[in-house]
Amino acid sequence: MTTVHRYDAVIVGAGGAGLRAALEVARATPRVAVVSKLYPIRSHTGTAQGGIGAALGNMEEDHWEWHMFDTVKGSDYLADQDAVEIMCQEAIACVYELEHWGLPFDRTPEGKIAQRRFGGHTRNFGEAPVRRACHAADRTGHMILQTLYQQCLKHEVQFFNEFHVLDLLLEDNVCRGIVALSLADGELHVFHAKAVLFATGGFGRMYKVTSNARSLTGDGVAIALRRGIPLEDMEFFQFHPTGIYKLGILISEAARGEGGILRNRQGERFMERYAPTLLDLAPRDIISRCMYTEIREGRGIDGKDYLHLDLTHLGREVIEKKLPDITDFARTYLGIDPVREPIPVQPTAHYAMGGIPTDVHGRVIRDEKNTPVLGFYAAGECACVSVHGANRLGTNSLVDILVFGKLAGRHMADYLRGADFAPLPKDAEGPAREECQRLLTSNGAESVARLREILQREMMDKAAVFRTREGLEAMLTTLKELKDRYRRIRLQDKGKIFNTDLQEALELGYLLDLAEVTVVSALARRESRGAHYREDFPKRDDAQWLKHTLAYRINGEYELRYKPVVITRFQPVERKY
Amino acid sequence: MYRGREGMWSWILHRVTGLGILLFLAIHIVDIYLLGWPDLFNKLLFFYRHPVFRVAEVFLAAAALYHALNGIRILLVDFWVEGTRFHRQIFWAQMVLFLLIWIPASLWMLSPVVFGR
Amino acid sequence: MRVLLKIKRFNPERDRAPYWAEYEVEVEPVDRVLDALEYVKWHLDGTLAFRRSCAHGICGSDAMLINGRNRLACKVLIKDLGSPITVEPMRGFPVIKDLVVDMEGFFAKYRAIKPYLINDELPPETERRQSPEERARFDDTTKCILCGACTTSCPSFWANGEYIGPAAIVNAHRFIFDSRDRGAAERLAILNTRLGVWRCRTIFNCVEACPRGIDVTRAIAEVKRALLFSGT
Repeated sequence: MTTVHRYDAVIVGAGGAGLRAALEVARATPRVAVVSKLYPIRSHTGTAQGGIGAALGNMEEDHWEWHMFDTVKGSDYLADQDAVEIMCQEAIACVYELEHWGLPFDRTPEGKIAQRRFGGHTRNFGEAPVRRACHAADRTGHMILQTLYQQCLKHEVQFFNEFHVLDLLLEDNVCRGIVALSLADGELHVFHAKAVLFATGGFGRMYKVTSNARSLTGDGVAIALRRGIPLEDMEFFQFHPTGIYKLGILISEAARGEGGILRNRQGERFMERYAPTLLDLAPRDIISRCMYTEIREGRGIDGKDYLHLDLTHLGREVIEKKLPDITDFARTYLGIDPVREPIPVQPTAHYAMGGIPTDVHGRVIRDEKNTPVLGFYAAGECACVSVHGANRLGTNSLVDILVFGKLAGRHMADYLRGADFAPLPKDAEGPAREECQRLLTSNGAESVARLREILQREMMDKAAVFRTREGLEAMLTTLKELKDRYRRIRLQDKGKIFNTDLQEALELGYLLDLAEVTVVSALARRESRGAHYREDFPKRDDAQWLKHTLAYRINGEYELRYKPVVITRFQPVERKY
Repeated sequence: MYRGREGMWSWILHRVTGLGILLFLAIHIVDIYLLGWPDLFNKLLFFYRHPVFRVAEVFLAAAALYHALNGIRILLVDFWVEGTRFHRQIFWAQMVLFLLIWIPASLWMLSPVVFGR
Repeated sequence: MRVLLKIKRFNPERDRAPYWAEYEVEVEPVDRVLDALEYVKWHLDGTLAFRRSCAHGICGSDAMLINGRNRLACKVLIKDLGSPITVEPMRGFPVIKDLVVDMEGFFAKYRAIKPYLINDELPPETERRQSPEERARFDDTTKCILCGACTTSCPSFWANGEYIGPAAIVNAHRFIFDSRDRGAAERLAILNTRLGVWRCRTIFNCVEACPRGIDVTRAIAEVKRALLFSGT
C-alpha cells in the first residue's frame, strides 16, 4: 500500500540549503515537509570546517565587491556574475541572521564575529589575503547545521527522516511531487506537492579518495537527469588539496589560513614556485594541480603519492584553540600530533561545481534559454546557479547554501500563493516500484560493492585532476560495462526493514549515471579551466569555451548544449596568483 | 556488563555499600529494640561475638568507610567547580585513604579472633 | 590482518530474538571498526544493517557498543582493540535491525528542552555582541553531535527510559549559559524534575562515552548548581 502525502512544498535534503529553504517556506505555509534519507543533523553540511565567507569587515576593511571579484576569478571566469553579485551581497545578511538565531561564532576581543583568512579571498581585488571567513573553531558547518535544524524545530517544520528519494514527478514541465522509500519499513511513499526543492548534495562517492560522506551519491541530480533535466557544468569537480592520505578526511583550508604550509619530500614550500602572491592560500584547483605535479615529478614524500601539511611552526596554543577538530583527526587516525609532526595529505575529491541548473531564484531551468520548470527548485551543492563556475573558493559553499536556500525558499513561498496542486501522474510510484523490485529479485552474480569499487578507482585514475582524451574515452567504455553489469546485480538482503543493501544499489545507479555525464562533458570540453584540466588541451580558451555545458540524456543518449556565461563587472583575464 | 570505569564502579560500590549499611541498620534497629527483653538482648550480644560476626563487622566497617569517603567525593563532584575534572584522581586518593584506615582497623577488629580473648 | 568480529544481529522479519554472529574480516591495523563492518557488509553478508555517513566522527550516525563501551565505530581503530571485537547496538532504545536503534525517543527528549535560541528582543542590524569569555562559557556543550552515546551508556537511563538523559541536558546547558539566550528559566524549570537533571547519579559513563570529549557530567553539575543557587 502506497501512502500519499499532500504538502504545499516538499524539500528533499536536510542539509544547510534544504533547512534554510524550509525555514523560508515555513513563514508562508505550515504545509512544508522536509524529506531526508538521513537524520538532518547527520547531513554533510555538518562536516564543513573552515568558515563562511562574508564581507563583514570585522577585522579589516572588506567589501562584497572584493568578495565578488575573488569568487569570479576563483571560478576561472565561468561563474554567472549576476548570481555571484547577489550571493556576495546577501552573504552578509545571512551571516548576521545565523548569529541572531544563536550560532556560536568565535569572537573578536570587541565581541564581534571573528574572521580568518582563506584560500583565494583577497582585499582590493587580489592585493593580499583578507580575513573574510567567519568561523566557529573548525566546526562552522556543524554549528550552521545545528542552528538551522534548531530553528526548524522552533517553527515546527515537518520532517520525514530516513526517507530516500527515488523519483521526481514531472509532467508537461510542471512538477507534481516526489516518490520516496521509507527505510524503516521498505514502503514507497508519494508526496503530492505544489513545489519541490532538491537540496540533496554532491556526489564525491564517484571517486575513490573523497572527503564526501557515504551518503553523497548525487541522488537528486541523477533523478533530475533521468527526468529530462539537463545537468550543467558536470565536468568541473573540485579536488581539495589537503585530505588525509588514503582516508580522504578533510584537513580544512583553515589550517593554511592560520599559517600552515605545504611541503614536498625536500621540505620545500613548493607553492612559492607556482603562486608567488597567495602561496598556500591560492585557490584549491591550482594547489591540487601543483601537488599532483610535485608527486608526478617524484617529489612526493618518500617518492609516494602524498605531501606534507606542516603546522609545526604555529605553536600548540593556536593549533589546539583554533584547529581542535583537525588536531583530533590527525591524532585519532594517524597517531600524529600536528604540533610536532607534519600531516600526510593528498588531493581529495571534494565538491561538485556542476549540477542541476537553476536561475538566481533557485528555479530549475531546462534549457539554454533558461526556461524554468514550474514548481521545481534546487539549491546547494546539487544545484548549479552558477556561482562557482569552474572552481569554488573555500567558505563559498556555506554561503551558497544559505543564500540560495533562502532565495529559493522565498520564491517557492511566493509561487505557492498562486499555485494549485497539479494532478499526480497515473501510477506515480510505478517506475520507482519497478526499479526496487528489479533490484530485489535480480539473480545475477554481480555485487554492488565490487562494481562501486571499480567505478571509484577508475574515475580517480581517469577523470580526476588530470584528464586526457584517451583516459576519458576508456572511462566511458568502463562505464558502459559497469552499467551493463549493474543490470545483473544480486542483493543479499531482500527484506523490507532497513534494507541498506537495496539503498546502496540504488545509490550506485545514481553514481553511474553521474559519472557518465561527467565524463561525456569532460570529453567535449577541449580546454582547461578551473578544476577541469586536460593534458591535451592545457590552456584556457575563452574564445571557444567561455560557456556552460548543459548535458541531456535522452533515451540513453547524451546530447550537449551550451549557454553563455553572464558577465557584468569583471572581464575575463588570465588567472594568476 | 558495560565496561565503565572509576565513575561507574564507584557508583556501583556506593549502591552496594549503601544497601549493605541499610541491611545492617535494619538488623540493628531490631536488636536494639530487644533492650525491652534484657535476657534475650544479652544472649544476642554474646552471639555477636562469634567469629562470623566479627568478620561481618569488618565488612560493615568497609562499607561504612567506603560509603562515607565516596560520599565526600560525590559532594566534591557536585559542589566544587573542578570536581568533575578530577573525580578519578579523587577516587584513587579516597581508595588509598580507605586502605590506610580500614586495614589497621580490620586487624584490630579481628584480633580477638586471631589471638583469642 | 585477520580479525574476528562478533556482531549482535537481529532481523525482526525473521528472528524472534537477537543472536551473535561471527565474521572473520581482513583489515589493516589502522582501519576503523566501521571499515570492518563495511567489509562484512560488502564481502560477507549484505544483510548487515548499520547507520553511517561521514566516517570521521562528526555526524554521529554510527554510535554503538564496541567491546563493551559506547563508541563511534568510525573513531575506533582496529589496532587499539585487537581481536575479537564485539559490536552491539546501543542499549536502552528498541532495536530496529542489527545495529540500528530507534532514536525517536532520544530526539523527543532533545526537543523537550527547547533547543533553539530564545530571545525576543529585537536584534541589532549586525551581530549581537558577545565577548570571547562569554563565548567560552558554553563552548564545551556546543560540540554535541547528538550521537546518543552518552544517554545510552547511562545506568540511570537504562533503569528508567523516561530520564531526560545527558544529551538533552548538555544541549540545554548550551543555551542556558549562552549570554544571548533569555530562556534559561524555562529550560531550568523543565530540567528541575525527578526525571530531569536530578536523576543523574554522577556515574560518568557519559563522559567516557562522548566521542567529542565533552565533560558531560560537568555540564550536568553546572545545571544542578544553577538550580540550587538560582545563579548561573
